[in-house]
Amino acid sequence: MITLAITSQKGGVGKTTLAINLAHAFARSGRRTLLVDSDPQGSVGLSLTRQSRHLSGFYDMLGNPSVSAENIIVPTRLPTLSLVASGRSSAYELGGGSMGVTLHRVRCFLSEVAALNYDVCIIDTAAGLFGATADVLSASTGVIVPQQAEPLGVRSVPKMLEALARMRVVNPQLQVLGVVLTMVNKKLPESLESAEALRNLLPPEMVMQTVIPRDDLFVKASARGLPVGVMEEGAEALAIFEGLRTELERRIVPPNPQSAEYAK
Amino acid sequence: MQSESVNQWLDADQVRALAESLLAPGPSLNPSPNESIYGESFEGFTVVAAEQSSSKALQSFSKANPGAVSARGISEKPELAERASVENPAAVRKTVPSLPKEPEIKLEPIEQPRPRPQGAPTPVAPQSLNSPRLGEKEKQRHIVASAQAPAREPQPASSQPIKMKQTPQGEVHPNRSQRPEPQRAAVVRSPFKRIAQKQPDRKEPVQRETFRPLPLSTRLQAFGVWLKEQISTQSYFICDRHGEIVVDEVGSEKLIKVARTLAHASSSAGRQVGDDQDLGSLHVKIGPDRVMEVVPRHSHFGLVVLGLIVPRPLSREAAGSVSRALATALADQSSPGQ
Repeated sequence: MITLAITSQKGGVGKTTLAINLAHAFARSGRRTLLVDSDPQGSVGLSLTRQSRHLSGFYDMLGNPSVSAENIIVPTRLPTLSLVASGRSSAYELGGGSMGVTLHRVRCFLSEVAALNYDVCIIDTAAGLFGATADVLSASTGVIVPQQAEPLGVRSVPKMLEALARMRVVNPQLQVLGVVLTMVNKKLPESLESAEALRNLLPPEMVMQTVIPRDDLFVKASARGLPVGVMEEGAEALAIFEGLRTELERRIVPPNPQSAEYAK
Repeated sequence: MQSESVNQWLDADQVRALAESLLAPGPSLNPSPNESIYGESFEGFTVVAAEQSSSKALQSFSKANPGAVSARGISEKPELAERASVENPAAVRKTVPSLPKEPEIKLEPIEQPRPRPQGAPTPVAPQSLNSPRLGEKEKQRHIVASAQAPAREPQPASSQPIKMKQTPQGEVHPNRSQRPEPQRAAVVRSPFKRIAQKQPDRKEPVQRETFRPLPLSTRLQAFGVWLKEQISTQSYFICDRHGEIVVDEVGSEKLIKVARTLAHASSSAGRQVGDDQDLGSLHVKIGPDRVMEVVPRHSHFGLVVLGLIVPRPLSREAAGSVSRALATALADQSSPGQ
């Protein structure tokens, strides 16, 4: 199993949208995929299920060793996609996590998930590379960084890189899979300019070719509690996240024998 | 060419250099035998299944996986190291970093040895050894001797350089990777409990004025003797919550750090499930025939960490007995009954 954390220093850059739709793309490809919400805001659960407030989830598991992965995994309509909601994080927010214990719990959780034969675990994180997010990154195999295609987003890149460099001290094997440009507004020159500036700034292999456009369809999908690719008019978005999945798989995931594109 | 809205806000060369460093593959985390004092057979926290998950995940990428842990402090409590050093400075070393290769202080004979029948702990006999011919004490000695026999057989010398101080009883064999079997000595009674159990036989209540508690250092020395006689302990250390050494026969700063980290994590996990004393056997394999058993214990000094170098992991019952004996040794005996 591979564990992909989706994280960024800055909030509001589209982490949850990327996590949901990338998980959907992996699941559609036949890989058993688990989408985990480690953001105390619970955005994944709020995006995909009305019952999210009542679901035990990631923070319940952190706070109570008797809560196993099986207890908190929620199936979806897509058999290969399951999710773990954020759960009740109030105790964690008040007391914080004990250093070492939270990481231990995250690793135990991922061990249980791997034992349940999941192929991919995608973890949506809260903004900022500290607290539970740092523990998630310490236990992950790869990190994807969504970056808003706006000047402020690009200016925050050094902070993000510095934080990732610190995380690589803790987890030297953490693979920085790349930056994904999000909220690209093709009608707005500043957005396109920012996207270009980021590509010029970073090594080419660090910036994904696939970009996520700013699209009202994401808002509509969220309102209906669906991945955007499931929407009737979501074919284009579906193709975008399929492209991103393929790009990511070429970087990290061993070829899927069931996938026709790898048989070529 | 960069946008004006961006390049005035950051140093492009610096950012690119940082990004390129992040793209470089991580360093191999398999330390050479010369770098690791534990040798090639070091397995890490054998009770932590999560380590396996990380390795599995990384095996899919044909890479190694880190297991980074860090020590942390704990709550404010009386200073165990200071108190022990005041009572018996000769038996105490204050800090780890200045450790010489040979321990400065070794346990000396107890100045005021307690009577053997009271001080000598006795293990409980398994049911298979309930021979009517043997006296209770002889049976117990037989059990202890048979449990210790395999551990005390001389081992062939290892060619692997090990920095950790070796004892003549157990050499490290880095090329062997067999997981040690837990010791079968099931339950070992604390010497201190025996004393406590005999007290109810006294018809007259114990007078506070006549009770003269032994100094902490003496109690710890007695505890150490008991560990070696009953638990096959090759060497041991005791440190307080700050990592300050109370007793150290091991002489390995890294092992002590590993023990503290494991103890803190396990203690915190134990508190989360509401049982902070019965933590079972926590051990780290440091060689084919050498295991560091970690016994964390909460006391009025705070969390005290006992590390034992033993040939095999202790059973849960034995670990519990050691933990209780440690608690008794640490207990404030300024008043009877404690």
